[in-house]
Amino acid sequence: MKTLILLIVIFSTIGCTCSNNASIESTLLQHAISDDSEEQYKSCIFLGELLLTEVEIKKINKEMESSICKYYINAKKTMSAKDQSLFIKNFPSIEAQKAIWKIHSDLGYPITFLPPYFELLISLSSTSDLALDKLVSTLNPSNAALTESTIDSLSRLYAKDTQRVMSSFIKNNTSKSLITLTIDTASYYEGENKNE
Amino acid sequence: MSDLTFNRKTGILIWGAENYKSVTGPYGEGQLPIGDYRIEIYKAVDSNQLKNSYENTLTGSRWFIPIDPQFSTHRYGFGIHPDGNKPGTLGCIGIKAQDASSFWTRWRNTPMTARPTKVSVYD
Repeated sequence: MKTLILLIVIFSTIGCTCSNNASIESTLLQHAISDDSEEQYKSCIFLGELLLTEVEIKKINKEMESSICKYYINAKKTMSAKDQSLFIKNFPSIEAQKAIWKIHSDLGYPITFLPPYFELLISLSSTSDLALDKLVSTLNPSNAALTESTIDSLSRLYAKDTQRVMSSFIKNNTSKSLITLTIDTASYYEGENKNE
Repeated sequence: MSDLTFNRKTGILIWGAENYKSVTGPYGEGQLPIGDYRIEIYKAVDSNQLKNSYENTLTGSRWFIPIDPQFSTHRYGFGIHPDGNKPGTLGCIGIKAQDASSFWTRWRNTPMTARPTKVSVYD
């Protein structure tokens, strides 16, 4: 499905590109810099997967306003500790996540697939305590599908690194219900691993 | 076309003459709120790329049908799916593995124009 989404973005972008003869990257960059939040979101997803030149990355940093899109692209492209740290620190609050989720679902992306910002944070949380704390502190049970998918990933981490995840739960005052769900799901996976 | 009804107390999802054993909650903010939900029939997903939470543990199939509350609530991201991994959901309607397969088969065999577009949730 991710591939399908990517192909849709590619083809719709190619459609735009043919009319003005610009490269895919420059068209996407223009959209990412634009004020239209839906266009910016779509472009961000794609730019995060593309090989970008140093010039293009500089253009993003020079022309884009500070936003999660900018931090996301930088963290994905440079993979430097500094950019990853900036991405984690600027990860949207629970309140701000609502807007991202609305764009994600309004654009027709299946809500069972996490927005890529969340996928990146989950990925970073396997090694970064800062990312893990951010992930845990922004768990929002009001959003059933997002929390269910996030807990699924978190429980796998819990099964491997129980102490680290539990420390983050305690530090972030996570609700007993979400801790129980994580532990229960992790035990399910432990059983699954033993059966393999 | 017949719509769906879901009784939170008994955990029974009804589609016409058929019943499907289901669960909602108790995790997070608990059961999904009472009221009517629009079923997003064009946004249903059937993919093995979905998380284990949406897997029918008997057949391995993974699917999710989003439902959208038609009333004011701070909660969102609901859906109907198999009750995967550990029993219980964060508010979605999770159909028990033994019934999830027949529900999904029926869903897929029902033409788009005849699929239910509303689920009413009550106690």
